[in-house]
Amino acid sequence: MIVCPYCHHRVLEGTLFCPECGASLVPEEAGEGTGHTPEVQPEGDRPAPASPETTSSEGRTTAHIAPTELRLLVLNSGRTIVCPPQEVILIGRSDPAGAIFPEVDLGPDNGYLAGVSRRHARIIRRGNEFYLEDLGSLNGTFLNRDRLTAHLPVPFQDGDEIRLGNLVMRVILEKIQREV
Amino acid sequence: MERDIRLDCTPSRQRLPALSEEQVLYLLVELLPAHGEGGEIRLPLDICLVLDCSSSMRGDRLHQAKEAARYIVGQLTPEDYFCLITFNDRATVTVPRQPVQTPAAIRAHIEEVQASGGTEMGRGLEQALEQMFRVVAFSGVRRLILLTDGQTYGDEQRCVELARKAQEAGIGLTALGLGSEWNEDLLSTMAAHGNSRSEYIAGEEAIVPLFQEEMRLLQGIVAQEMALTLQPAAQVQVQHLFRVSPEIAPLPLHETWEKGYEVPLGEWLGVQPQVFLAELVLPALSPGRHRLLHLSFSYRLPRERIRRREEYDLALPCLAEKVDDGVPDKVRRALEKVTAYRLQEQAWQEVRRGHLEQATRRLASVITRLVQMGEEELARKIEEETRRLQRTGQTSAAGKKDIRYRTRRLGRHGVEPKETGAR
Repeated sequence: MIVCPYCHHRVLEGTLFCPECGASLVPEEAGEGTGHTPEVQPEGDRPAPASPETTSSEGRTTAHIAPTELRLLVLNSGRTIVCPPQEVILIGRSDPAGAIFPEVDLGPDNGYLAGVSRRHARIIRRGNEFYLEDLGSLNGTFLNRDRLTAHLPVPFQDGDEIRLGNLVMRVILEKIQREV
Repeated sequence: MERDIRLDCTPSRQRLPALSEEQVLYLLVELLPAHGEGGEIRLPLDICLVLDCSSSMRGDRLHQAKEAARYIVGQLTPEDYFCLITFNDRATVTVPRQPVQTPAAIRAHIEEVQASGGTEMGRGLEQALEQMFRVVAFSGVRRLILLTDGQTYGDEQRCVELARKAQEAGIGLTALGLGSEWNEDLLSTMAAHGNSRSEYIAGEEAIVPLFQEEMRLLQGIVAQEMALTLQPAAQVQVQHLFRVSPEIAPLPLHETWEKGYEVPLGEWLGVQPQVFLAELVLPALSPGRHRLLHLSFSYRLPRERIRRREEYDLALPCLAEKVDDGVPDKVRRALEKVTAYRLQEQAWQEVRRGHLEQATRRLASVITRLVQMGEEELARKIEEETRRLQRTGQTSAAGKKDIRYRTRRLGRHGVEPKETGAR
């Protein structure tokens, strides 16, 4: 992982521009030709961090806010799925032959019949904010009945309805209670 | 002379570092005419014009739209087909699909069109498809040209479904929005396919020039039935695929069981460059050479029956030591444009959801990016709109549309460096 020097968003190695603030992440010494002018941003234009969490220069997140647990209630089957506490959560159907193992596997909920693609959508966690992104699925991803434009993450909240094809889920966000 | 097409692929790195975690690799895909410019073919055209005739089109708008329809008919020959559907609260087949043998009679029908009532786009599209689907096979170019200036209510999903049905049958869509009141999310979603596009027309005076441009493109075909197929190796993910040129747009990736992802691209119109950018997520890699992706591009040259195919294997060495090779300039330029496009699209979504502070921040990032790219004029437009957003909590419908469509056109000139003074 590398950390964007401007907004502290964490991205995978090899990323050229920060998807959160657009800053160039190409090291200066790697440049060649006109395309590699080092990023010069006027102080006023410099984008601020996108989430309220504070992140150290090494990219370690210091939790000032109680972490939130994300659960998805699949209305078609009544199953509640507790999402793992990771930054990117793939939603789809597992396909061992194609080495696709989504964190939220809707195969057991009759996802195939409901029109869920193998790599249908993903949830991106930024601190305690959650975004839903359609991955160009065949039957679409809907947030509160609005069809999402493919590859454009949109924020969602507790109580929102997510629909993948004909499979409907309710979002449950709960603060994790910790004993001190 | 008909041309072969060369497939030119450039990864963002020629060598990869061995990592115990995932990493990103970009692949720039350029389609190049093997023998340079010239040699586009004029094929028979099958054009269906779907015209909004709601009351908001009254006056100059309808006058210019009729002028544009007459221009299209004037460009067609008896080998070509034309039909005109008008819609308001209901749809009318004003000119049934027919070979253009009596252009004067067709023009007389166009003249009779009047504007009144509401905007029910779905009904217009249903009639259009009904006319187009009367023919199963057509060896030329089939196009649905939609012009609207208003919002359709309640049938948006139906409109998207009808657009997909046409696109899957090889009928491209040009969706034109006139003025500031139409739903650009709907038109963009309808046109989110390899063989389709949407355009913004600010004022009625620009209708005829845009139709002239459309006809110029449709009358010079380089290739037909183009398709990209991406077969990633196990555990390699194709995260995104964007068309960079002629216009920036995300391309839907449809999974196929044996082939990975197939992306239909339709026709290559005119001499516009064809550039695509794939974002791959690679798994943890050990040192050695790794085969990552197989890409094939298939197409048919006009008037040829057989499909041709170009293949590319992405296989790169992975090194245990640090790799600090430069990123090829054209890959960086392509991704820079796509990044600006994605950030401003995200900003509009945030505005829609009332997250104004985030949207303002995001737009500021787009301005920075555009200034770096030498796109000062577009950056100034976004700055104006950002100030309006901060002042009033709203954006102007016309300003937002102008920015969205100008940003898409950042890819119009391919991935060559921007020439000074060029627009």
